[in-house]
Amino acid sequence: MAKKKKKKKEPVYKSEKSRKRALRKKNPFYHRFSSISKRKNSKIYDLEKNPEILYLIAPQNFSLSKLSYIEATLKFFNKLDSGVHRYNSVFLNMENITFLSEDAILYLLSRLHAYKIMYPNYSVSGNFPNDKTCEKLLLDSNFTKYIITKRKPKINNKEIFPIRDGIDSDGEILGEVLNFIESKIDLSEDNSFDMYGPMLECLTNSKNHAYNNSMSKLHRWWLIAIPDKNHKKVHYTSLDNGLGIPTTINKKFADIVKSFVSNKDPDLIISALNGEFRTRTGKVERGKGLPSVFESTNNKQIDNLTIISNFAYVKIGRNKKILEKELLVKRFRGTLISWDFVE
Amino acid sequence: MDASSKIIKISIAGDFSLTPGARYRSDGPKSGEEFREDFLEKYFKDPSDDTIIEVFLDDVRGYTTSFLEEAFGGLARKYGKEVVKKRIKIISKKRLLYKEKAEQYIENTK
Repeated sequence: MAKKKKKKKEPVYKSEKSRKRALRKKNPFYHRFSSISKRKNSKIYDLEKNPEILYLIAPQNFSLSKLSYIEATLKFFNKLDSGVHRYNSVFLNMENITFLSEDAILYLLSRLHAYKIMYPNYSVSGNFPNDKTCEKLLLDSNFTKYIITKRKPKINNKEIFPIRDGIDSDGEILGEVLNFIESKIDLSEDNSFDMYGPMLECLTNSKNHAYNNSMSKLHRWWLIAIPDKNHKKVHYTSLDNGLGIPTTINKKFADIVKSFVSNKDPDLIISALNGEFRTRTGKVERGKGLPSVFESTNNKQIDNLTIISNFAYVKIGRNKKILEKELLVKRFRGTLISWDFVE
Repeated sequence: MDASSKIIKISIAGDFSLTPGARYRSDGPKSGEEFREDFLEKYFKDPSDDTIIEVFLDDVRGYTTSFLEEAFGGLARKYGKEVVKKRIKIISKKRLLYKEKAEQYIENTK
């Protein structure tokens, strides 16, 4: 006779404080850069000593992949930004996330990297989503490489191309990404060849144009590629935490456009994609990176090019067709560029 | 081409990198600047050198336009368009578009 499963009782907490303490102990991650040598002793319990911890609840749809999710996700990140600035210690409650996408994970890592430079004594900790799919994505994405946690992804997981980060325009990594994509979908040799350039241009842009001197320590990019087996496509995402495209294009030209349009940032991005601006370097032969990304939408195996930068969200379909162009309420700090490789 | 000219063959994939990088050395490894300075310029320093340099573009992972512009356009900016056109021969069987681009970068140099 099959044993009846015992129902788990909901724990009863003496106080709100003890409930939060239990929450922190459950599936925690911890991200603290103030003193790496103290890591072993500090653990998450250090946080309890600090009476001023900001608790933030991540939105259910923790994603930048759809316009309808972006505002709530960016609102959460804005709170995190000001929370780290004001409180130093922040706890991210991610247990209620039911939809998670890799762009939000990359953005979280880029913000954590920025805090490391800007607030040497900050600490951010958190828990993992209860939803198994979301938890798996967080673990498999290589997120745990960047935080302190006992949770680890499965060894030899080849389902996704996990997060890689860097500073230089590294063609070798992109070679690995393209090898991975070719192993998942039928990407022709010619199309693979043609996409290498735009992918590398995105990393180069993040190095050359995304930062001014005072922010040069922030400079970093992250990338990830995740296949969707049902649709026979691989979604590629790269992100940097720089000043953003609308800030880094040539100001003289930008000012002219600004005077004509109120919906500034999305239009500035479209103009930059069309090669209408010189970049901050000011050289005629430069500024070909974004146009080459735009050109790649003429490639039959590329779809859904999405760019989020500062207050702009732009989605482009095949053959340079602008599908969505929105001015965001909350600022995205940096530039995210993603697209689908399709069969 | 002078019949007595020496011919040097350089394969970017074989001699330089399967994954060519961006424009400048400061951008990252295997840049166009690195290729130009380490592989091409040595044949242009002596004005009496009439070596013909055949550069093979095929068999790499891909190219950024900035790599090609800096390698070939950069060479033309430094040593003169006519000299470079006379002595650099860009060869490709599979990537004709990129061969044309590289030649265009030399041609467009002012």
